[in-house]
Amino acid sequence: MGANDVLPTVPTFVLGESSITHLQQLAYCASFLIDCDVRPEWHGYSAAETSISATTWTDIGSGTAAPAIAYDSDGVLQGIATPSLAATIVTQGIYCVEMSAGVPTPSATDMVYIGFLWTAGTHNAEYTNGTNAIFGVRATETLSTTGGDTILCTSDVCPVVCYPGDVITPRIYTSAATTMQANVNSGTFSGRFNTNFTGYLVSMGT
Amino acid sequence: MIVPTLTAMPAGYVAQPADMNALSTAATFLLKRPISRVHAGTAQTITSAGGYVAFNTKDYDIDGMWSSGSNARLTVQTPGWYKFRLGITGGSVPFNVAIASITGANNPSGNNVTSAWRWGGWAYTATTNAAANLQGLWPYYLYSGDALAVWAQNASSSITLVAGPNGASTGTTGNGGSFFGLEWISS
Repeated sequence: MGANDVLPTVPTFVLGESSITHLQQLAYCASFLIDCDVRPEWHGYSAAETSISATTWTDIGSGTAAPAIAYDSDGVLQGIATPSLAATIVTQGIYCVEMSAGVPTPSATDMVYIGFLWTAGTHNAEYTNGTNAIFGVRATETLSTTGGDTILCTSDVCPVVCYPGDVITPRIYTSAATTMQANVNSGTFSGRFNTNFTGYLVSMGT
Repeated sequence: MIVPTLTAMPAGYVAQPADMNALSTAATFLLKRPISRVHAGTAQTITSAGGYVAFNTKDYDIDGMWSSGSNARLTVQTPGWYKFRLGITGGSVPFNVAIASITGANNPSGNNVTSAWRWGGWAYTATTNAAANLQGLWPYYLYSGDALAVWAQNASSSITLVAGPNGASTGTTGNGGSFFGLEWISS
């Protein structure tokens, strides 16, 4: 299922129209806009702990287990060979992505950053393969509370039109080494939160 | 853009090309809806009195909401309900961000009326860059000419907003930089 890079063609109707193709094109436009089985959208989350080295941007979900997928109409979460939470775009367009991620507070005054890394693939018509940009950054310093995770949320639209093969990777950066927990749902303040990564096509662009 | 108008087609009615093309126009509008994203490509300083954040670089702007000469706001061209997304990256001091609307001449409330702050964000740091990020549906219907603007402030210190983005950063300076965007949601 999914759009699979089949972009809608908006038909023009004329007097005496008898083309079923045009009606089907219009129907596909509607499906592309409102049908979750066609419109590219996904929700994945991390099912494994991810070790985070200090002062290094780390791809989230690159642990030993494959990402857990709530839904993924266009198959974007399955394009990375190494288990990862990264999305490999299948259908061209402008995408909104969202993430929540957190770490057990190592100590007070550590910095935690989350954000997305866009990387152009070989089919990108505007940027050379491997071009990248970080976007949607959210960052704050942890406080001196104990026993609580530091959880951040962020959302942004990718600053460029994505083409098939482009990759959007949720990432995290901390000033001290730590381990992102999988969701063990064990308490209100710690171990209950896991990484979520959602995205959807917002516009075809121009 | 012009918000599409659709007419009802009762039973027995023979659909005319104009009726069908109106559906096509609506599809085109939704597939390429008004959306913008801009970012701050250069550093700027916000004094302790607070101030609007300037965004001097356009990523895309399908409906002409951004202007280089008035880059501390996004001005709605197509009326409707909008979703905003923004992130502000500052350095070394904690700060608050908020968003307000400024009416244009088409708004029944009158021209140049600034709303109360709606939505707020906060980022804490005492050492290095921190970034506040917020998004949501703006609570007021926006008319053509209305604008949204982002405010940042630390009441006891100036804030240096860093330039960005800087690619796949290996550190924290710059990162994605400050960004702001609007998306048309519904009429």
